[in-house]
Amino acid sequence: MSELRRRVDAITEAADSFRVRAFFTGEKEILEAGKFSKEEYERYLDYLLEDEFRRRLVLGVIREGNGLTIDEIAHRAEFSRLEVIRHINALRYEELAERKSDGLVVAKREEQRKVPYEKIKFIVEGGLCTGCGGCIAACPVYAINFINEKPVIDEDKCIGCGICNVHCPRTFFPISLIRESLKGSPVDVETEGVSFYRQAFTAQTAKEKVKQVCQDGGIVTSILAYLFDRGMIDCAIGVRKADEEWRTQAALVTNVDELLGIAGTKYTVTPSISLLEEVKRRGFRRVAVVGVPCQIHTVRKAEVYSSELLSFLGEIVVLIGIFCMENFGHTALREIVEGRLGVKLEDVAKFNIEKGKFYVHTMSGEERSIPTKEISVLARHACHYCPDLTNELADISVGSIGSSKGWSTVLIRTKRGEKIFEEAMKEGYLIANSLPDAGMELLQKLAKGKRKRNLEALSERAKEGKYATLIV
Amino acid sequence: MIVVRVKCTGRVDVKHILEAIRQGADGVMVVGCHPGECDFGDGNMKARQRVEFAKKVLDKVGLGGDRVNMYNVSAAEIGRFRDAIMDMIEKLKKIGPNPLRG
Ligand SMILES: Cc1cc2nc3c(=O)[nH]c(=O)nc-3n(C[C@H](O)[C@H](O)[C@H](O)COP(=O)(O)OP(=O)(O)OC[C@H]3O[C@@H](n4cnc5c(N)ncnc54)[C@H](O)[C@@H]3O)c2cc1C
Ligand code: SF4
Ligand code: SF4
Repeated sequence: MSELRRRVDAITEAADSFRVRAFFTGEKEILEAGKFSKEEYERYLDYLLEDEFRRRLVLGVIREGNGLTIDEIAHRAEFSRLEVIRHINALRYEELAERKSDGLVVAKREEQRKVPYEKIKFIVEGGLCTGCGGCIAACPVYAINFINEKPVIDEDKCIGCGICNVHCPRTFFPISLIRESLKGSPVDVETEGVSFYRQAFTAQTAKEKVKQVCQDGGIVTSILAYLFDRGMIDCAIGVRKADEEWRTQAALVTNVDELLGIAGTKYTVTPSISLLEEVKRRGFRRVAVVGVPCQIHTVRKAEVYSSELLSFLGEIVVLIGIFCMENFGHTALREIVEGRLGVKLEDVAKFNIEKGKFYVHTMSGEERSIPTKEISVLARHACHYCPDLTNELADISVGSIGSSKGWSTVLIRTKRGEKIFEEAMKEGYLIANSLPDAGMELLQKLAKGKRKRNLEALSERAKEGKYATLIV
Repeated sequence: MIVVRVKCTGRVDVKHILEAIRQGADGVMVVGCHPGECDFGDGNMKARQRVEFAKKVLDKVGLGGDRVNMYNVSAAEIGRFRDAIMDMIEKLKKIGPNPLRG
């Protein structure tokens, strides 16, 4: 087949693919919704078409071959290896291609498709939704709202563009690709438990004001305070306590005072990534994002699969990831605190998980606890399929496991994270010592345990014939 | 020349335009009513948008966006129709035959 014919076939298929079609037909609705300007709309449509075009070129090569390796495909398509992997991941998810056990990639017939690609509804109904809020930020027509702890699509508004589906970390997740694009420096330490990192510390804030409000070592708040003080960010995304009974709210803060007001851990799922949309709406640009692993996953996936849209929303200065074993909905939290521990939510001053126990500290200075093992069943369903404890894809990961009380364990993973952390330290925002081996060993052990348990749960799910996130 | 009659240009899809080119047509001329005179609401506006998109698509693969053009001609305007055809022929002469044919 001639080169031109191949390209024309690919572009014809691309122009007819559902995402491009829906985005193209939905122009009026998208512009009326006001999230994107006409110019952004045009640019995004062009990006979608180009992306789909290149994907179909890769598919064309796969169809012509009878089982090819990634390198062969890259060679024939004249694309970089990383780009080919990127497309193959998406083609596998869309069931247009598959990877056989010998590693060779073959095409699949479109009629065999089983998974619905257009919307995230099947993720939500299937109990895979983490509640990160990514789909809400991405939807071009504001069709998604977070109601009763989950995203709900307003079908009257939805134009079926499938962008929510691309942004969702639980439809498919390109972990190897993201890892490969993030590391790549010889000083990186690669481990089985906590993935790659450049440096590991145990650290504590040097600011008295932070100490009074923070969860552990106050590292998250200190780093953000440094970024605000130096004028390096316009805003930061986190989670605030919204009422006396510990309901939560996604928070976009714009200065240090507001930042201090959102410090501390809330064990409640909050769709804070949705606020990337507010960054744009309020005319901010440079944003730091704090999030649990699934939330950081969402942003990383968008960097790889929807960079154009993400760049309209804001410029990510740093991703600060907090460790997370599991998280709860508000109803579940109430059951734990009021039902199991017999404490009224409004009397709680602080929550904490330490050495396998969930602690509640009351306003009157009382302390109650329950083993985390006993409350795990109440965790959000999606948490049972999440392999990540230490926030493997963040720029800087922060948690308590491995450090003493009042200190934070910090894993510096990327160059960008390293620069910010070192500057914050130099400028007297925090103090840090290298993490003792015993701390790292404990962290590795728990991280491996979570990964093993939850990946097993995921494959169990697949065996039952339910959709299980494609982790590639 | 092949003439395809449709009730309204709003029925013409990007897919139809591209398929015609894919099968070797030198060009596609979409002829519809004047803006604001569509019997079906905004069929001709949609058609213009689609033609613009098809142009973009053809440009991407180097076939030339000028192979497809939209003209607004009402049923009574014979002269205008002739001008449209002449314009289309001019444009196609400039781009040359469709390399996908033969
Ligand atoms: C649900 C959950 C489970 C966790 N599980 C573990 C664990 O098993 N092991 C461990 O070592 N650490 C865990 N952590 C992390 C730990 O509780 C601290 O958040 C972390 O050590 C940072 O401490 P800090 O003093 O530096 O944070 P601070 O300076 O107090 O800042 C905390 C930041 O986290 C944000 N935040 C609070 N709640 C949430 C939330 N629900 N979602 C997203 N962002 C939020 C706040 O807005 C604030 O910016 C968990 C955190 C959460 C939210
Ligand atoms: S809900 Fe999803 S499919 Fe529907 S318009 Fe929004 S992003 Fe597109
Ligand atoms: S996991 Fe995040 S992106 Fe996916 S459906 Fe849930 S809230 Fe939306």
